[in-house]
Amino acid sequence: MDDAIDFTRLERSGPPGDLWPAIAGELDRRRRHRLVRRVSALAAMVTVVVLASVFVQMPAPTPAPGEASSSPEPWTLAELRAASSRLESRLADHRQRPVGGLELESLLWLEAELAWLDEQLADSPADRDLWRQRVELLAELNRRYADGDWRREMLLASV
Amino acid sequence: MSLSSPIDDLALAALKRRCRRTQERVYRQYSQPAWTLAVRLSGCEARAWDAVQQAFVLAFERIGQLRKAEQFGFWLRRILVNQVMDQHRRQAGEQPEIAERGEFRDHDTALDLERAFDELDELDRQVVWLHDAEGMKHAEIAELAGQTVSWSKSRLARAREKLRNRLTAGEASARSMEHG
Repeated sequence: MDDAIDFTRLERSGPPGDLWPAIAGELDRRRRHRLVRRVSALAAMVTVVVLASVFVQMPAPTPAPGEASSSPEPWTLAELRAASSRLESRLADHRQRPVGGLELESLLWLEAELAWLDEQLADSPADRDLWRQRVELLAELNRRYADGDWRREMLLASV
Repeated sequence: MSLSSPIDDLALAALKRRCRRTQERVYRQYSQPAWTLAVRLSGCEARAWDAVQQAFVLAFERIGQLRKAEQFGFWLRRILVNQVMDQHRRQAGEQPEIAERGEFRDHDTALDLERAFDELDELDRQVVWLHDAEGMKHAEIAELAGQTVSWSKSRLARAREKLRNRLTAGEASARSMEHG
């Protein structure tokens, strides 16, 4: 260090007065930028959580009257009658087709059930519960006839 | 006040909370030595301005990395020197900036030293200032410059020799003007 240059005699100037405001401004700018980034990340997270909860809580697609449903639907009497009529016309098509021996017994049982329901409805034509049962029964009959068709086609294809 | 002066633990804790008043107080404490260092190393006030601004911003932003309050000054100095050296590396391929130098008509040892120092190559200026004025070790200078210790030593020796030659030439010239 003996050879060191003595710089202590050099004048030491101070920084310009506008340097601190510039530093403070840059710190503020970075703070705002960080805040925006955090808010954006939070918003994205909230969006994901909300969408996830919406999907989790979203009710299953409402089945049309007559389709299998685990909970009673608040159908009006007119809607139940319309659904019943629609299912009955579809059932009429199925009834024209041959039925396999395997399905016959269950179909006959369901047809007897339908006849019994129709008798009840004749006495109480405005009973919504009876109409709902009729719609469910017609839907079940249609499904059984359709299943029978599918099995028959499979049997024919395997021959 | 120098860059080796410490801050206390309370100030460090306040800086970590990003307290603006403490930031300003710490800036006031270190701005003069930081400014001197930046001007001496870069040889240009405009570049010193950028380097000091960036150094304080980085120091306050990264204050969470600092464990000991007494090391704040050394830490800030390291960040500042890095900033100046980064500037130098970025501008290495560009046209050298013409330093604003006044006309030194009067003979004055301080002015001679100022002029001789300003005329040094930027790297020579950085090494000699960091070693002789800031008291940094060769290992530290070499690390900051991304060079070896022997590079720092030879650069320092050469810088000192150039300075002394210029100072001697200046004194001889002044004497001849006085007698002639």
